Amino acid sequence: MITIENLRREYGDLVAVEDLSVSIPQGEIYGLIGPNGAGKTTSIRMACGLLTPTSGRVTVNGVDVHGDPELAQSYIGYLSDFFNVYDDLKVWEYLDYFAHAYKMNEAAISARIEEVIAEVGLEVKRDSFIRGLSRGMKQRLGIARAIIHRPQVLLLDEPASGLDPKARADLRAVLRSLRDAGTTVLISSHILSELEGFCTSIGVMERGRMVRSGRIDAIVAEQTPYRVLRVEWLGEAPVAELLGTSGHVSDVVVSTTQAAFRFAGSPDELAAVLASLVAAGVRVVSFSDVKQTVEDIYMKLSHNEVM
Amino acid sequence: MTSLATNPELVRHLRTELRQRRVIIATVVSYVVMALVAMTISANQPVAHQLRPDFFKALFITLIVVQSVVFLLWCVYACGNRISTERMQKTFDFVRTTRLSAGELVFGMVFGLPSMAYFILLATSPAVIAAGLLAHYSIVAILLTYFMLFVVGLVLSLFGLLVSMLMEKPQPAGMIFILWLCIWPWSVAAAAGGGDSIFPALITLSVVPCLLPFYGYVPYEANPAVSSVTLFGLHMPSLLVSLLLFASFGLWLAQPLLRNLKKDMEDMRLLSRWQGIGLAAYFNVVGFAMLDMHRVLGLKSRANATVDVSNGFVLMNCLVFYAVGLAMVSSAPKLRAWWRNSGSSLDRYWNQDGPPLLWMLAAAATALAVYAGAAVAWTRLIPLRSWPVPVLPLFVVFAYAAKDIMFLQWCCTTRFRRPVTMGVLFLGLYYAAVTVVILTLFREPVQDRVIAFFMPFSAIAGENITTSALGAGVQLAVALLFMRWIELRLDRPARILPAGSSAAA
Repeated sequence: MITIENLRREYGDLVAVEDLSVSIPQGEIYGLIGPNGAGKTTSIRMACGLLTPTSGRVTVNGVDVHGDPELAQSYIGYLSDFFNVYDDLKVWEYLDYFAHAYKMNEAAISARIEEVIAEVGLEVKRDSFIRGLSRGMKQRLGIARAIIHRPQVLLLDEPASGLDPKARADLRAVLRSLRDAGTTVLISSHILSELEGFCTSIGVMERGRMVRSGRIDAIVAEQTPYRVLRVEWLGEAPVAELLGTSGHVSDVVVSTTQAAFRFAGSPDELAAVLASLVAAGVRVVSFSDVKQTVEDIYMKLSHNEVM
Repeated sequence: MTSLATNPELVRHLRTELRQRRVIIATVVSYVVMALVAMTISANQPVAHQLRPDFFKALFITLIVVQSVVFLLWCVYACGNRISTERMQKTFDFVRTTRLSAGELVFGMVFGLPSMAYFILLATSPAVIAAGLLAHYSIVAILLTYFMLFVVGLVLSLFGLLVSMLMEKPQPAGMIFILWLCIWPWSVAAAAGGGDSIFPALITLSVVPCLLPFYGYVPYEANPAVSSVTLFGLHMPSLLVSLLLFASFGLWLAQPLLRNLKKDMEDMRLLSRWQGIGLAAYFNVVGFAMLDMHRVLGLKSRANATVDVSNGFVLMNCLVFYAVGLAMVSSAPKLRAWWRNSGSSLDRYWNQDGPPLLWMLAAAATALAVYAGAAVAWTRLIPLRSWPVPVLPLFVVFAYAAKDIMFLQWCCTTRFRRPVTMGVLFLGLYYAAVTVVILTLFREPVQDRVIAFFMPFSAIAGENITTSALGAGVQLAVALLFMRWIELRLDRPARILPAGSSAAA
């Protein structure tokens, strides 16, 4: 859906983005993570046609963003971090302006405006002036603007910056519904918890370069050839000794009635470990994976640049 | 292309500017002001003259002057800070990522931003027209006045928009500068055209003298035939010439807007290389078209006339070369892309994105061609052999302009935050320092020769040409050195941005 090929941007004799290549298929939520100054914003601005690359190209739905910008923009929705909206317009007027600016079918515009207003939960503010909206509402209006023309690709640059927890939760809910509707999303953030449980793929950028890019499960599997598990039980039991008997278990850390350990075996072998605990009379109440967070992955992939 | 009436940018501004409450307030305020003006004029008239043509004349003139001033200032003000304000508020990026073309945006802004000014003009014009008719002025004169007001307002709006596009942030000082630029050249032009100027058509830059004959006034006793001026050696109605000039200014102002409005500031370049050459040709053609050779010959001998015209041509092109060069300076990213992709030696320098040296040379050749064309056109008045060939003085001003523009181009490869602005400041400092040092260290007649070697002014005045040409040779060598330094800088591998710093900032 969106393909970035050898993208490079220089400012004077400084390279902000160096030979960035990423391909994001339809329906993917791609998180671009990295420290401040890693080149995330520059990459997104080039991807949506705001900045001309020094070299390389970006295609969306097969259309060159810089070669045929007018057609490409019909496929792209863009939202940046801190932004203003036209305070002297009403909510529906603001969306009407952008619907026409994206050259949508005239007959479909009114219905689409009502639809996106409902989608971002601004029904009661439809006829209000934008200057009366809260920061979170303005952010939601920004999302409504970005999706008014049903873009196939959403490019979001730090969209949750400066939002309170409630507004962040609202934002995540809206983005989840867009993901479910099949929209491809490229989202950048340096706040890793923002992307947790949301992205299907990530790319780690540092100093203008892509350090690693791919699906989260594939990266996890590649970075950690073992699983980290946690077991919890009732009463006293020699769990450390019992786990130690399995050749696939290592690094067992026990604390009173729970233990964490690494496991490098097949699912059958893991089932056998659990069975051996139960057979030895351990009253197991919980036996589960310790999930790798985006932050864990980042810390493994990062070259320890400043966050 | 969306239809003009449904242009989203226009509709947006009409919605914000012409809300019902604002419209009512503006109408009431306008009519209250007009009533106050009428009462003031009435109070200063004898009772017997009230509601007579003299009263309505005074009323009409006052009202139309107030209307014009308010309308024109509103146009400049509304457009003059708009893009920079939107850029600062980060709303302009969203506009740039829509499907609206630069042309559609410019149209919407130019007519939409001052829409309240247009409304006030429309709302008050019936009363003003009525006053004009009661004063026994012709309806044609009144309608022509409004038409020219519209044309000038449009050009000023484009000018304001262009300045606003080039400013990173809205600045009150910038606004004052715009207003000054809007008023000053026309005042000078009107003053120059009103006397015994050899450029009578200059008067058309100030629209008022062109309109006065329609009202039965002769604006300048020294120039009674102001209703027609000489353009291309032909007598043409001054209002038509004024219209042609403003239309062409508008087109030249629209060019950089259409080229750059949707671009990032860093990627902007005012004109393409061919447009730059076109601009040089335009200035020269307009300059010669405005020159009334009969008047020149009436004031001077043939020999002196041709020398003066030739010197004027060199002076004008000194400014033209700087203007064209500045409009063609390439941004740092464009230069790097050019250096990476440039081909064989001539193609490398005859390139849209490289340093503009060869293109400036082409502009100089174009200027010379226009000069030759003008000399041929005037053969009935002056034989061709009587014309001086100003190749050497033109080379001198070209060399200085080329060196300075190449210096500015070199600045673009440095890490100056505003390279062109910084470069212009350094050039100002350089010329000031050279002037002070020469004036301090040397006395006439050596001083004249030293000035001729280090400054282009002697060549413009047609003096010390040999010394000036030697100095110009040095300047050209320095320009070529700058070219080489630019290439050396571009040869250096780019460095990765340090961690924690922001490139976009």
